[in-house]
Amino acid sequence: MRSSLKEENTVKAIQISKAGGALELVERETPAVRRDWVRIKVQACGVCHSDMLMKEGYWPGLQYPRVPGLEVAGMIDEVGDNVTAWKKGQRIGVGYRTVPIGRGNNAKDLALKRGEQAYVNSEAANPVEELKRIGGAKVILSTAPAAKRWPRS
Amino acid sequence: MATVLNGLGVHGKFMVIGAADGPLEVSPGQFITGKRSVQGWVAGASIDSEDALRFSAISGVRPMMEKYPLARAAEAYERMMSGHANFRVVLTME
Repeated sequence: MRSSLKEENTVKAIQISKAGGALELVERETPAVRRDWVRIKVQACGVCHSDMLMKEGYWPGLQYPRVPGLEVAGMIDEVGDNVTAWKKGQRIGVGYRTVPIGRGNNAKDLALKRGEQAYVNSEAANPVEELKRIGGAKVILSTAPAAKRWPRS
Repeated sequence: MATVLNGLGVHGKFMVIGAADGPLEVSPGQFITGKRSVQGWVAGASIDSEDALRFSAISGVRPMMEKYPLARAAEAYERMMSGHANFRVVLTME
């Protein structure tokens, strides 16, 4: 078994080619890790009713083809140069949007204190997910996914 | 949901985590005497998930899933949409 996705040019993914389209198994180019992102080798992904919104094109501004997947569990395969909070080989989870919607900065501040992160999942790739580095106020306003650390067990 | 509100203890909190259609009917009396409350919660916050994972690891709680290989994602999706899935439908990369 290869330890890193680096050596592989393509990855298998489930793709939707148009709004209302079928879930198709395809080969996609392995995404290169960017400076502030980590790349995840996906081990499992939950199938959520929210996936329907992406599949049927109910979110505004969706572009196709796209890869669904909002409940990712996997292993960090590569980290970007600017990433200090995560290491290669760490187990990681990626979930859905996380910040309470409210007026003003109070909701955001409160969420930040609790360590919550905001994101709108632009394209959760399966089995490879790119994930923006978390932590800090910058992320709260970006379209970066959130991540969870796995406990040692 | 309105029925189970009567099961709340003193200071009991009713957590709404499922986006069911339709209004939730409650009567003021159900809340006043026992200082009970209703609160919504959106799942998926990193800190919540980390807490849940930690609790699972400590207590030995494990998820129950209906697993499908990635290639059968369309079938897995239909299963989830059918409303008949007993557990979380999960794609695996095996």
